[in-house]
Amino acid sequence: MAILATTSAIGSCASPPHGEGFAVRRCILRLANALLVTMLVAAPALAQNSTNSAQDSGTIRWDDGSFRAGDALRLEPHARFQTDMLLRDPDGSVDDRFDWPRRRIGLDGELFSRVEFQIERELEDDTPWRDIYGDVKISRAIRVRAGRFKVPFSTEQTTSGFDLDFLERPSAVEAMSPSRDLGVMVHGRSDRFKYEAGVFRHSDGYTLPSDDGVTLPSNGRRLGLVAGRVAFAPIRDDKDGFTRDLEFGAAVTRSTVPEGLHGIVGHTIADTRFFEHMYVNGARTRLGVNGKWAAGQVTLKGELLQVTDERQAQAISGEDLSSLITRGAYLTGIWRAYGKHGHKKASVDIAARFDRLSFGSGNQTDEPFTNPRADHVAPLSQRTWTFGATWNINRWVRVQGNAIRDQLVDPLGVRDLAPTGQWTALGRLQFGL
Amino acid sequence: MALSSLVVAASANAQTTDDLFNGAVLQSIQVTMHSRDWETLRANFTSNDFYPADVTWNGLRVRNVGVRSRGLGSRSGIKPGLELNFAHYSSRSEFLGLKSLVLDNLTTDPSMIRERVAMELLRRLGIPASREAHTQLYVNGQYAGLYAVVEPVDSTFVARTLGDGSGALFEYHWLQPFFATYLGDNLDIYRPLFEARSQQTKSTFDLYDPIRELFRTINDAPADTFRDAVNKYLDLESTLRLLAAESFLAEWDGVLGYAGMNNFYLYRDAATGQSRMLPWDADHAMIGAEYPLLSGANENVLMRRSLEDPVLRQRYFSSVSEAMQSAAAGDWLAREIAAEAQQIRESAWADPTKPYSNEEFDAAIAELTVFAQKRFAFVAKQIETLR
Repeated sequence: MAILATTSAIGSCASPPHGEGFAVRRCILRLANALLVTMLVAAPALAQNSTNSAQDSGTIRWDDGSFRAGDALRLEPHARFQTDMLLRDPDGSVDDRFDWPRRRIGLDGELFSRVEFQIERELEDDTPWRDIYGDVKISRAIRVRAGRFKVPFSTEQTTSGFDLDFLERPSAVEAMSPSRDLGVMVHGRSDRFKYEAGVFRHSDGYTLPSDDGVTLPSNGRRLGLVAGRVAFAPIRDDKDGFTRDLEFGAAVTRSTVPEGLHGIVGHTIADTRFFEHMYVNGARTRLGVNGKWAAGQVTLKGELLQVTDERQAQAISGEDLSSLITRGAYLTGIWRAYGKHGHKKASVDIAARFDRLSFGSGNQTDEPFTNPRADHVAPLSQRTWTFGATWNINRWVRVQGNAIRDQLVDPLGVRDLAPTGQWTALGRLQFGL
Repeated sequence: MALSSLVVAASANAQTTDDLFNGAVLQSIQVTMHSRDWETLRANFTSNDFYPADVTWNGLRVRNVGVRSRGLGSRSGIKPGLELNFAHYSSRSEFLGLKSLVLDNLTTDPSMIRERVAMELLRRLGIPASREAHTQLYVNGQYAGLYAVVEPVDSTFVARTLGDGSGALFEYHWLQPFFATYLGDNLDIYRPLFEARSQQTKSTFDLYDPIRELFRTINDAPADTFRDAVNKYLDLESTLRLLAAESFLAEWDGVLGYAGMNNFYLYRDAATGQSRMLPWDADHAMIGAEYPLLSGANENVLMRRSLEDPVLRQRYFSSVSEAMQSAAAGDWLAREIAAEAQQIRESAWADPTKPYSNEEFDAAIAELTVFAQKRFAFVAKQIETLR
């Protein structure tokens, strides 16, 4: 019933009559109401299943950053900030070298050890709300999350921006991943497996970072996104073996993108657009696989991603075009130079990453062009090396430095590109309570 | 695919830009665009956004051409002026050796022939000027109106007309009345006036210091050294020939225009560093048979000081005489006006998007006929008086 209340609220956001801004506010208000209903309805029922709650419900205390009322309620407010400094830009033309990429406040909580929730917003942003969801624990294997949260696809994308190994996610992940969306997701785990499967609204009112801020008009079509991700960890926390952790995963999403200039774009590290929107129309399919291997002080991880966009009736003559294909991959190596794994205490990590983002099309035989209706889209790829160090001073403060070299490669020589790569250096101070 | 490319290439080789700009023929160009793109281009006609299209001329089809709305005062959402950029979506693409083409919508001239006649005369005089021809334009199979297909002034044009296109080419933009005065030391003042159309990666100093020095010299050089000092930066011989031809043509929106300098490019030779002016957009030529020969000359510092120099003054009036004689030879001007008017009349009348009535078209042609009859006597008298 609680889930139904939330999904009903999401469904009712589907067709905004008064513009996008109004739609966003209305959806958030309805979502907040739905979450409240979820908690009110779920809490008494779940409380009956919780023996501890009856014993501890009278104990109210402030404990390690959390407000607790026994096991009945936990409230954990947080505030997290990142400030970046551009140490070197490719052409030396940037005047303002300081930035605040994230300034967030939020509230995590739990009711009767059964319902978790999170609300988080950016302090200054056009679309400030980030995660707003409730998560009902039916069992370890079955949990239901409803609200606005990240669509499960790339593991790097669903990693918090405050826990990244580098200042920026790989370009491919940034460009190709769906971001937060309104939806309902079933998820759970066992000792070796975990899964997530959900349906999302993916349409009016919310901009999609992967589409570079384009708001997708529905044109009366029913839009939506289904997503699923599974992971298998044959080895986990083995302190004695050669392999401490080993994990593999796969993910898929499927959505409908309306007709328009909504193809995926590419940005350089300096945030200039190097690959423009292409006309798309039809299904967008994302596929991803990921792997992670940790041994001693070393961790290797990576992902392979692909997005296929249909382009129905998008040729100059009105016929179908071959699908637009975007591929991405990265491989990260991390060496813990100081400190232990699994502890949020002082540590130093040295890391390197190679990532690649490439654009092309299904047709690879005709003459290639860069135009947004080209059947053979002239291929273009971005190759980026990132070298970095992360110093976790304590659980609240972190300092990072990255040197990044990105280069564009046009294998067919259709574009006039600079032949050499560009170096950028960034520093970051992060603190959070 | 490779075979079809060879066939197209062979066909393209069989025809040249001379065929495309052959004024004896009323050309026909077909543009195929996604219908939504054509609607968007017309709705956002003030934007310079490109849209992909296939272009067909004389059986030759060029795919994936970049098309954008163009023009300044002539911009229109009903009858858009167009740039066809063959290299926009692939740096390797071209058409008959051209990187781009201009489709002039002819909306500022009811006669629709002023520019073509003017450019034709300039070329007769040996002045590097764009080749032009009239063309019927079809978009997605529908007649979109009568246009002029114009050879753009770019490095390809400069290489064809001057033998070397490796220098720096600038397009002059009218931003406010400018009469060749010295604007000061700040190079950033010159940058928006003279937009670099080649060598864009060069530094501001490399591009604009010679332009600043040109106008400093025009204004500050002593009278006795004016000719040599300015000639170091600007080819005065070719400049005065252009100014003289524009004066004969009663071009009131040209280099000596009513509101300051306008409608020209500046090309700086890579070897000598000397610049020359190249004409552009003469759709206000032949404004009136009694348009004064030296209109705008006193306001423009370059022209005023050139006329103060006896040698340059003599050259200028000799060039006016030359232009007049060339236009009069065999009654060329009157015959050219009549021939072009006859060639386009049917298509102009059928043009559904022109901003003039058919009666206004006929009246404008009649005005030009009068110009061709009366201009020679008026100019001859002015030369006699002013020389």
